[in-house]
Amino acid sequence: MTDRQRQLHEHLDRPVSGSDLSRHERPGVPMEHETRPLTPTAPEQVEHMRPRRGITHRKELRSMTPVFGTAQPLHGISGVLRRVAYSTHETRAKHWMMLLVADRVNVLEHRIAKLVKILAIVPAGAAALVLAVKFFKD
Amino acid sequence: MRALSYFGPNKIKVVRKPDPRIEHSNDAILRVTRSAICGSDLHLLHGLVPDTRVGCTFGHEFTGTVEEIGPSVKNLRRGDRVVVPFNISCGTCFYCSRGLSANCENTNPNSDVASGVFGYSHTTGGYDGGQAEYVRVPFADVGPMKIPDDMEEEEVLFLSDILPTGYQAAEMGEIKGGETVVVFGCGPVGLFAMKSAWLLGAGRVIAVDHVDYRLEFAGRYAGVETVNFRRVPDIVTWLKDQFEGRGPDVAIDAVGMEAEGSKLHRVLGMGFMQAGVPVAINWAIQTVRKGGNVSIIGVYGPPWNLVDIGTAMNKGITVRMNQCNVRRYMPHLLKHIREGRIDAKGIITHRFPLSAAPKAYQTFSDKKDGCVKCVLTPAA
Repeated sequence: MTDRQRQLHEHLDRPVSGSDLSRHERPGVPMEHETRPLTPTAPEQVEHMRPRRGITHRKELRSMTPVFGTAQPLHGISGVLRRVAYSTHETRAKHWMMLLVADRVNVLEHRIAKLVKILAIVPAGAAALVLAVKFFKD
Repeated sequence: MRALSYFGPNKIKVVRKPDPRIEHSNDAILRVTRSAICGSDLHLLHGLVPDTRVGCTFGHEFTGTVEEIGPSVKNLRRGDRVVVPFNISCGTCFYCSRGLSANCENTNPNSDVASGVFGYSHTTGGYDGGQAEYVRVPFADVGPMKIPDDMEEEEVLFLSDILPTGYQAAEMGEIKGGETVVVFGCGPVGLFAMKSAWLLGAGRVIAVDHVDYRLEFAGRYAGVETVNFRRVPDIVTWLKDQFEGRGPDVAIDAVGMEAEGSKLHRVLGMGFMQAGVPVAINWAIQTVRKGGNVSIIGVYGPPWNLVDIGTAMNKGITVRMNQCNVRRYMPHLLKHIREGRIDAKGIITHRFPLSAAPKAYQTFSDKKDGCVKCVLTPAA
């Protein structure tokens, strides 16, 4: 029997119910505790990321947060709509509605781009096929 | 790398994307070993979360192996196996230093409603998620927790979100011993809320849902009484009657914005006239006894919902809620898993390779084939 199996076996008979009855056993009580770093290894000074193009922030912030996501930067018409949305306070319904509209526009943009790609590939493919047929005929 | 990507409501594909890079000195890059699909990922899939951009990779419940670390990372080494909280938290800001890591103010430039979250739209910071082969993890010295050598990834995977979330839901119910608890929703978070209610000393726990196989699973897995709200004339009255007409001491909403149970709310919620369907909140408020506690852990979006606040006020209810401050709970709940009090892995019903992620989403979303929890294995 491994240590792990022994440990599990030893605890099988322990009552599950009420094992965290004491408030001291509850990691989230009180929800807001006295100030201390979340983990002992948390960096004392938070270094700022370099600014990136196409990344925006909400109106209420004076500058970017130190750390941010860099996935899918703003582009196209959906990007313009999102910029307008983020220039509006997030307490306004307009902010959220504009983001939802931008999401749908973003999907349309993607579909149109895909269609254009197909339309570009099909004539190129057809021309290549004609040339190949002509070559082998000769 | 291969990664799940979003292309519009109900349209996801696994595509090739550039590998993530170190972008901040405290970043780490992980090779994802397990990644779960969360119920809240379905809100993204269904296009309900504002600023979900085409190309976004979902996934906020994952384990991985450290591949690369930034120059200031002290806590991790290449090859370490870790489980990562879904919140991205700096560890030292006003909120983090008070234990509220879900409210970190240094990681989400786009909204004040939450901290940064992996793979959860630009409303939570614009970070790609872990349903991919690799993922960038900011604040690698704060969030990730090393997996003990004698434990498997799947044993600890749910420490990333749903297990702490369920535990916090029960904890916010202020159970002191012997209380009666009703949990709305028998999804993974609901199941862990039920288990946690027992750990905290609940006297009686009833689970509410409308999906029979999930009710059956809850009865078996969490040892609770169950009721299908579609099989009783009025669920609020039925529940109150179970507790001498007063209702339970604690009611937990573990459902969130896509609840069933009211055609009016469904039309308004899914038609963007309110931010989701607040049926479970309203039932919780109406069911709980006067002076009781309502705990909300189901996800809702801004800006507004039709919540029965008048009833809550007049009944003197305490309503508590928050996204889960995951990092605080990880060591404690790891102990429960190690000691056999919680079989977290026991809720996994389906495993899929990353390439089959769209099928996994469909299975989970349609509640097909007895699905409770899907796990993706990117290396398979």
